[in-house]
Amino acid sequence: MIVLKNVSFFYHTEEHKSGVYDINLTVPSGQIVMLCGASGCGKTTITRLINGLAPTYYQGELKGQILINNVDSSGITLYELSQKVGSVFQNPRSQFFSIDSTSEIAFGCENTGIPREEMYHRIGQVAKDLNMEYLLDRNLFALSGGEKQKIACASVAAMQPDIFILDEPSSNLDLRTISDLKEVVRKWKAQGKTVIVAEHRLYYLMELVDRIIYMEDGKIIRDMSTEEFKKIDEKDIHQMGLRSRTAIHFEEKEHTNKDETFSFTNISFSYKKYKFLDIPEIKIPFGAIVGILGYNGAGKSTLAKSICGLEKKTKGFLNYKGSIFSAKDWKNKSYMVMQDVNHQLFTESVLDEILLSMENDNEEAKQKADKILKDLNLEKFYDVHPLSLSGGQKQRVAIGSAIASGKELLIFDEPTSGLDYKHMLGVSKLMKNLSSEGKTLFIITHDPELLKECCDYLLFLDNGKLDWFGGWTQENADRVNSFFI
Amino acid sequence: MKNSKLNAKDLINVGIYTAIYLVVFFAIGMLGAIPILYPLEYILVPIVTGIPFMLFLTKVEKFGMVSIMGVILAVFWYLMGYTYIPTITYILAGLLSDLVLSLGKYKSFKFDVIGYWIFSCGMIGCAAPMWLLTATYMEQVRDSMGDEYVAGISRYMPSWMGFAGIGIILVSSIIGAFFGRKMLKKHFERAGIA
Amino acid sequence: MKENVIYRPPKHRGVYLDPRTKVLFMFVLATLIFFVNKNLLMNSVLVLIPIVLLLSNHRYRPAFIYGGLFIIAILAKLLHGKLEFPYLLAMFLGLITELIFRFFPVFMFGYYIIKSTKPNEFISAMNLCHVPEAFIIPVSVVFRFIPTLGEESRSIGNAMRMREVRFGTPKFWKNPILILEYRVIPLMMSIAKIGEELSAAALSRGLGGLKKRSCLVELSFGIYDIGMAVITVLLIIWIIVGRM
Repeated sequence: MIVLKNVSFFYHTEEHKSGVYDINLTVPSGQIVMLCGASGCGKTTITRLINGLAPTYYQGELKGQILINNVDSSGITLYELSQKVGSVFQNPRSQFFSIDSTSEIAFGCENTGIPREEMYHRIGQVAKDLNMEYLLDRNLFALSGGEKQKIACASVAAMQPDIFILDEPSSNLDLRTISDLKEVVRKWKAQGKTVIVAEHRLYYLMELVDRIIYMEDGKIIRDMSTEEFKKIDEKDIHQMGLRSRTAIHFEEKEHTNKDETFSFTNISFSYKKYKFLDIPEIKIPFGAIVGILGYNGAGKSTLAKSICGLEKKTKGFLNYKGSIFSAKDWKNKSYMVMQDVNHQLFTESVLDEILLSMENDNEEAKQKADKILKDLNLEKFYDVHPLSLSGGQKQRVAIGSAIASGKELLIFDEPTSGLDYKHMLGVSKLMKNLSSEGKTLFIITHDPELLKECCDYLLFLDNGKLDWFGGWTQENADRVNSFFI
Repeated sequence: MKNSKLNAKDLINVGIYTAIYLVVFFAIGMLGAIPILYPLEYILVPIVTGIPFMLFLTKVEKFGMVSIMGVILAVFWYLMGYTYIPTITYILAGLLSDLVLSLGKYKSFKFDVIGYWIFSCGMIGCAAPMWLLTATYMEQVRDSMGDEYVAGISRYMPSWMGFAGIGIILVSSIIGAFFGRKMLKKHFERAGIA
Repeated sequence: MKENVIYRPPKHRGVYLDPRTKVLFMFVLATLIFFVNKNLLMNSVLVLIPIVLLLSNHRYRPAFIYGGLFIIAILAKLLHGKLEFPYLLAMFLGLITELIFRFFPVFMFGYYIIKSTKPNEFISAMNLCHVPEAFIIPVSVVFRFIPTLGEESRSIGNAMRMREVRFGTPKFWKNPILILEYRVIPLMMSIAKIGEELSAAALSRGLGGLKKRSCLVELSFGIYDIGMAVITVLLIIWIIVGRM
């Protein structure tokens, strides 16, 4: 059982501003609780208070009392707590300690001094429970994000805690692995464990969750049963900043005619005699927002990198406004906003970042940069270091530098992973603006809501081949529906 | 500094920055594959590793972290087949550097520079096998070809590089430390990381 | 009824040496190499050991490259004095052959150690040898972060290429030192961030507790380790006899 009595917490450092206030919460054993709310509402802080990382690791000021299984958690160390509370975090890349999967599963057991033979038992059991025997003895760096996340769950489960804490575990996952994650939670529920999940994405856990806690500005606003939650109107849900509770249904949409097209021909990418990409021709309307879909390993990111000229082995031609460009020149036409935008911010101020993308930095360029920043609502941050901004702001800076480069094909890799409803809408609006300015956009995404909101064309890849391409006809909508189920 | 014992977080930090140091060292070490460019390493390595090292020092507040870094590097050189000379120099350099830094309570930039210089001097050991090699080689050559020949070679293979190295590294360490501090102020502090 | 499933680690195939053997033999090799100045045969044996091990580990390319270079070095040594080379070239060749004789066995063995040993085996070996945690934990982190640095660095390189900040472009010539800054700063930022999240994940799984850690990987000396021990003894005897 978890009890939070009059708990308030403020971070000492400025980077995490979102503290929590006057939290009273009792979670009986065996309950599955979902914490939800817009970004920065304090749900992550609650998870940290329960697993003890706040205030021990994330330092700050704690008031009130936290009881984990009737023991005051301020009196015990993180190490003792780690055997009762297991945590899975948001980013699959940063939470593993070992290089191979089996060692990673054993990591927690090693730390607590479990004997080897017992570890073998537990690893075998956990691998069977979570249906992941095939992932044992693999190199973690070769696994997908979803597989890594499964390993993270297994590693925690092998420690056999009573309480599981999951902090936005699905943020970086695609749909298939999200349903795996759901099965993991189902298993834990069947074993009578207590599970607390902080999430934006609601639909995948709706049938398992017993109780939903909605937070705003560090306070618990509503504490309801799943039945109660289901009765809330969809509009109010979005108003609360939450994503949809059910799987999105796609429908036929009227087609805005975009006649003029450009085309890629004979795109191919081979590596070690295997063709990873083989697309004879795609005709894309100018100003289209193309959603790139496909399963893991279908070649989505290879295609995206190829369009940006980042894959040297790619061959092919781009027929664009009467000129023909070979693959190595595509990079002069296109720009990618990466999933981890931290990688593409180099300079010491937002303004410099925009200017870096321009040919020269004279007055004219500065005025142009000014305008770009205003359009992106970034004018307050001219002199701020880009990496000190929030995730969404950083993304906008990266988009700003893409606009400044004057390139006309923009590629976005998972622009809405981990965003709440409001921020997702913001991204979608930005995309539409870019498209109306004549840019053509390609979006790799697993986010059905974004897809429905802003994409007007769809490109489905399968095994490196173009499976189909087109707008929202009834047939294509059905295809997307079946893809997302 | 309530607790002077290293905790898990400190140890993870040591690991991270050691990894960065190693990778940067090897990236630049590729140049060293061409022996003539070897002296260039003495200049480049301390300048480039200045950034990670200065950032590392912002995380260090306890004795032992720099020493452990030295020991890990030492063991790596040993396993990579650099013989045990760099092993000894890196362990010594790490320990001495840690002592100097602790005199400055890990806060004084002056001591940081000296500590960084000492630490960088560990890399002299990496070239030491070369001198040992030339020394034994000279002996053989002297036997067969006479003293004049040996004098000729020595002109191209100066073994005083080791001592000159300390001086070169002093200069490049100072540059590296200042460069690193500039980067800290310019980027890491403003981004709220250091 | 609860089914019992027990994990069993995969069996080692081919020549498998305990990491402790490898580290010890490295020491032997690095020491012996100083005593074999003029013994061509023995030097060949010392080179052969890492080559055989590399081959057994399916590292054919490095094995052949090293092996080939070594054969060339032997030829150069045998021909020494028979062919007249210009002064500088002869000197250079002499040095190269010496380099190959002196350092290649050790370098090759080092390469073999790095390529054939899994990080968790190293860690287990250190555990068995009672190496303190204060050393084992950072070493594990080093192992884990080297590939991460590669991943991050590639991604940053891509971003730089897209923005045309790279060697030789006009943007580069404006301020060459910036290229270093752009390369290193985002890398360090993201490594620092990953490090912070990793620390949190590790602490929440009990790293740094009071208890002695246990270890998943089991190590034991096998027939090949005994073989290495025998070879070592023979080599030492050979040297002692040769010196007498």
